[in-house]
Parts: sequence; structure tokens; C-alpha cells
Amino acid sequence: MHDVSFSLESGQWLALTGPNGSGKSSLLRALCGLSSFDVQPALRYAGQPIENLAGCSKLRLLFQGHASGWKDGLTTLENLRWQAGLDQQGARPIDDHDLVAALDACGIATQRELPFAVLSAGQRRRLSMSRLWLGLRAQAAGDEGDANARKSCWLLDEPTTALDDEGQTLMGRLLSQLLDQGGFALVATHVAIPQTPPAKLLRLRGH
Amino acid sequence: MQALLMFRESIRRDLRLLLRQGSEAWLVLVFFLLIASLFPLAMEPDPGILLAIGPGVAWVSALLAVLLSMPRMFAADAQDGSLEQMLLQSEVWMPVLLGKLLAHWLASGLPLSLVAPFIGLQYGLEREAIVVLVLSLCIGTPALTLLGAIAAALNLSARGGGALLALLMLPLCVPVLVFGAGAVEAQQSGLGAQAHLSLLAAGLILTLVLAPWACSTAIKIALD
Repeated sequence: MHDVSFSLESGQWLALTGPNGSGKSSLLRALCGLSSFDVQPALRYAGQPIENLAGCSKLRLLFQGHASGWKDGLTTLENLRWQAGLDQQGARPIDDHDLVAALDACGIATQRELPFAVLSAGQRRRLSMSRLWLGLRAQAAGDEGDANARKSCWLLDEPTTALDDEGQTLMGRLLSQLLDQGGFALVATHVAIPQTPPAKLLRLRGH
Repeated sequence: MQALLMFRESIRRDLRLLLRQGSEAWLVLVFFLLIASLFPLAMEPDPGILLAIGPGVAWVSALLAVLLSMPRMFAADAQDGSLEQMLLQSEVWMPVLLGKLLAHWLASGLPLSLVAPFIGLQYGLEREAIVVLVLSLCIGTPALTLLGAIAAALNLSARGGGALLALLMLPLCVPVLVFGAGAVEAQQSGLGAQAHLSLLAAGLILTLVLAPWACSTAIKIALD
């Protein structure tokens, strides 16, 4: 993959498409700094050069890759509590009411005491959406306090696989809310996500 | 404050995961007791010989038991993607990693040190020697865990080589073994264990400073 170039304004999202193996996931991983580029590209945020998105202190990065990061041995609620704490970098203790509200909004509140291992593929995706829901709420709470609050930036790798129609719509709504808040998103996807504003398109060619 | 909160949460998360696996947590302890108990069976049951080899056997058994517990240190978290989520939050990554290391020691090295008196009795050690054995294990096993964690982190990119882990870890652990077993032997011979214990503690401080940094670097390379 070379000669890739794109830019995003606040409130815009980029849909990353392309055949299997064209490097969508690799691009997302490299952007957030988990893997290295062969040739370091010129990345900029608000005019300032940055090394990667995770290292940029003005962004609230949320990456959802192939491996979801959920533990089979923890319950749904415990998983979300840990991940939410991590996403907010321990800024404050996580309130259980918020967690249950997030699970409820994504339709898996009744599964909260079940071990993650017994959830279906769709329910697992819904747990990942609860994480996004909490991210939106944290962002809203953070914005109230100060004007220079960090902007949310989501890097999602095929967030709608295994989701039913209603789940895909919910995903679209979460994404719209993020953009309304002035956040950014880069989403690798093969299908159109319903109820989202038009995306900028970046199509990666296969080899 | 942030760091402390995530440190605590990380310990809680890892301990919960370790205890839920049940058998895994017990395995280290049983393995330790079993290895140490095999020597008297295989050897001539002469109290003098047992007394002489006791400290060494206890320490080698402890080292092997810690080695047995190391592969699961980062492997599962790397596989299901939770390790990369931790790594992405660079501001709390270090406290989270330290929490993982401490949790791992609390579930392996600490219980192992606490049951060591049984081994001591088996080999007919005196009471003072047993106290020194427990003390030396309490100071030495965290260092073993830290050194093992470096090997486990390096081993992540090698994918599934438990033998490689042992090859990497065992040479690093020799000084800990020498001063740990040496402390008990010095106590037995009437020299006092203080010099050995101090050196052991110095070793622990050294690994405490260097190992988390080395682990972190190795994990970053492995996830690349």
C-alpha cells in the first residue's frame, strides 16, 4: 500500500473499503501506533505533526480491532468496567449505573452477569457498542468542563459484522452522535452503515 | 491518582481471572511441593544429606514452579486483543503493567513462599533456617517473576515456544538462586543470613527498575 492520502475535518468520517487483504486493518493498526509503517508518513493533527494517533495528547482514541479485547473469564459487566476505565485512563472511578445504562442501550443488559464466553457473536458486537456508547457519554461530560477537551477519534474495524438490522442501525446512530459531538472516525467496512451522514471514501486497491 | 486507580483495577482484574481458572492457580503450588518432595524419595534417607541439600532443593523447586506459571503471563491477553487495548492508553500503560506483574506474583510467588515451611520441615531444617527460607523466597520470588516476565514478553513474538522461555529465563535467574539458597545455608552454618538477604533485596530493586521497562519494550515489538 502506498500513495494513500486523506484528511478529515471535525465531524467527518472516513469509510475505508477495499478487497480482503488490501490493508484496511493494517492501516488502522499502524495509524494508532500498534504497528509501524514501512515508511513513516506525514501525519498531522490540527497542523501539528504527530507520530501516531495514540501518541497525540489532544485525541481521545478508541480502537476496535479484529480482536475485541474482551476476556472470556470475566462477565459482560466486568469486561465493560475494565475497558471503560482503560478508555478514560482512570480519570474517575466507573459508576455501575453508567455501565448498566450502556448495556441497556445496546440491548444486552440482561446478559450483564453472564460470562463473556457464552455470548453470541452479535451480542459480543453489542458489548463493543456499549463501549462506544460510554465513550460518547464521557466525551459529553468532558466537553462541559473545558473548551479544549480532547476530541474523540474512533478507529473501527468492520464494526457491523454479525449484527442484525437493528444492531446495524444502532451502530449508525452511535457514529452519527460522535460526528455531532465533533469527533472523527475511520471505519473499515464492506457494507454501508445505515443512518450515518455521508462518509468520505477511501478505497484501497488489492495487490 | 489516575495511575493508582488503574494499578488497583489491573491487580483486581488479573487476580479475578487467575482465581477463576482455579486449577491453574493451584498447579504452581502443587508443582512446587511435589518437586521438593521427590528428592527425599529418590535419595538415600540420610538426615545429614537432606539437611545439606534442603535450601537448594527448595529454591530450585521454587524457580521451576515460577517458570511453569510464566507462559500465561501475557499470552492470553495478547491473543484476545486486551493487551493492545492496554498499550494504546499510553498514560496508564505502565501502572497497568505493574499491576499485572504484582497480581501474577500474588497468585504464584507469594503462596509458594508461604507453604515453604512444609518443605523446610521435610528436610529437617531448624526454625531459624525456615524463617530465613520464607524470607528469602518472599524477596526472591518477585525478582523471579519480573525476570520471567521479560522472558514471557520476549517469547510473545516467538509464538508458542515454552522451551525458549525456559532457556531465556533460567540463566537470568542464577544470581537470585545463588543468594536465595545461600541465605539459608549461611544461616545454617552460623554466619547469619543478612548479607545474602541484602544482596537479594538489591537484586529485587534492580529488576524492579529494569524489568517493567524491558517487558514494555518487548511487548511493543511483539504486537507490531
